[in-house]
Amino acid sequence: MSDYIPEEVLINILQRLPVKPLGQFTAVCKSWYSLITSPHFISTHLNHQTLNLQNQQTRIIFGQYNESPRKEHVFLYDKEFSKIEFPFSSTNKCYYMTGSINGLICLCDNLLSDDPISIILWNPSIKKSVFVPTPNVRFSSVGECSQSLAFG
Amino acid sequence: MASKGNLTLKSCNGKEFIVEEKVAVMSTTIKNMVDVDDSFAQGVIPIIGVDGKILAKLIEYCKEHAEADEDEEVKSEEYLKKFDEKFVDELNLNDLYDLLKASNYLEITKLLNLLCQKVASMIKGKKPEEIRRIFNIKNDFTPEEEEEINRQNPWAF
Repeated sequence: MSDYIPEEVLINILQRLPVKPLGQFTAVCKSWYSLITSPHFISTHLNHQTLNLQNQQTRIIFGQYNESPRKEHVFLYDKEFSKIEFPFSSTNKCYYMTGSINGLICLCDNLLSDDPISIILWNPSIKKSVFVPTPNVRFSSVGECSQSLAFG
Repeated sequence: MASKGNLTLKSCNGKEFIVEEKVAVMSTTIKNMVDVDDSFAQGVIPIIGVDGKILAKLIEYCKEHAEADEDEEVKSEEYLKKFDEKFVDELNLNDLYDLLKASNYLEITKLLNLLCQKVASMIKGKKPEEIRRIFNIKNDFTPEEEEEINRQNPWAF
């Protein structure tokens, strides 16, 4: 093929691909890298994938916690079960999934006590995560209250 | 001169095709031209940058789909699906590329989506160096930058 493909055509092609090849194709050249990692392409890709009929089947993600040895496992149900690499280990007991949207999952390991808390936004598809700054308001600072965390 | 209800399309290398208007207006670009200026419908419509071979392929595709849109019983969805599959399977890389560009320029959305899906399936399992070869792209990363990208997304490689 010749070296010039209009950008809108390239977007039309790439939006049809799963995340893994897209991750690889960031290494093709600089313009592909900036296209694939741009917020515009990411939302175009998300829209295309969610509209695509084949992808409308339900997917369930769930966690399992073993006491001994202490280990958390995460599974994805998508016609069949598969194990997802879970790169976190809680200093408390285990992580809870407090919500998910667009493939992003919010994890939290301590809601009810004054022990240290970690809140993580996790994207299992690209294996990236960020630790969210923890709130200052805790039981000890305001007295007894009900506390909740929501994401979505 | 095309008779009423027909349009004459002329490729960049001078080949003329007389097609039914319903076939030609599968292209939004041609539809807009005809809608805005009636004289296009009487005379010859030049299709810039598209040669006779590619224009013939475009017309072949549009003819099947325009007829199917008009009468579902004659050409079922299944028939069209088979036609589409055969249509893209028979294309070589150069024709695929020329058709992509032409269907984008002429805004034949159905065909453009079909071709994009074909290219997507074709490149899905390929390595970056194979992609560069297919699209004739020069690797403009330094080895350090390439290493950094591989480090950013180790799961992809």
